[in-house]
Amino acid sequence: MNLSEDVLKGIETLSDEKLINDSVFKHIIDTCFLVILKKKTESDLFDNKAVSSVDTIALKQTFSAFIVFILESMKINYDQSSISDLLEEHKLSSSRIDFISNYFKEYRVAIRKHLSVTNFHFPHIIDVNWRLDLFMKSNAVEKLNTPVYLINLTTEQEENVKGKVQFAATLDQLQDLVFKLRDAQKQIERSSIKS
Amino acid sequence: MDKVFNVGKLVDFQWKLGVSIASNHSSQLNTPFITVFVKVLDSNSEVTSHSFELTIPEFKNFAQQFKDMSNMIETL
Repeated sequence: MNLSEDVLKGIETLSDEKLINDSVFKHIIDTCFLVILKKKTESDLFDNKAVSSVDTIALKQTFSAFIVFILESMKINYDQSSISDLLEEHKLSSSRIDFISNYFKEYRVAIRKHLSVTNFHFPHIIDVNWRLDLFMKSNAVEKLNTPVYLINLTTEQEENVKGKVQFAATLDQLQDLVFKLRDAQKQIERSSIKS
Repeated sequence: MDKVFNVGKLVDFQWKLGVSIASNHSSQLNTPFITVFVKVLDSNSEVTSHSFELTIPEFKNFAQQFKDMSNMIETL
């Protein structure tokens, strides 16, 4: 794992029990993991009273360094023992290593999942609702009897921005859409077999 | 007068009567509804489209209000 000197220095700062006491240490680690999962923001780092005794610049450096460390290790799916070894190399005590390891155990899957859907362009479909309607009459035609599917897609962009895509489709149009989706699915299966 | 106070003009009004048969929540809906499609020419001379759906009780209320308006016009 390629980590810059700044990141390694920041991790080493976490081993300094005089500069960063246990309550501050726990608060930093907790905030780092929850910021990545967007359950907290960076400003929450300074909400803890214990943090006031720590130099702000050192605190920010340590925080950003550990965020990078989490992201880099999750990007390559670094295993628990390798993470522990790296932390040990940078002088962290066994109790602090255990504390960090527990966080990795708890949030590994969630962070990996979160990283896999991090997207800067297109929204993701998070929900699909459909309804089948039968139109019987209209102002123009006395007898219609036309089946129409209404599709409602709920999308999500980064920062939890939700959107809606709504459209109507005839049976033929819907079948065409289903065939195209199946075709895409087959292509994915083929490419995953190759890799 | 029209130039001074323009709240928009109704350009087109279409409706459809339909029945919701099924959805991802229920396989037996059988709920009748009215879909209304309205085109309005607004004060900026732009045509905007609006569509909405009404249940039968909502439509009855909607229609009743138009009947009331019509009755008012008759009294003028």
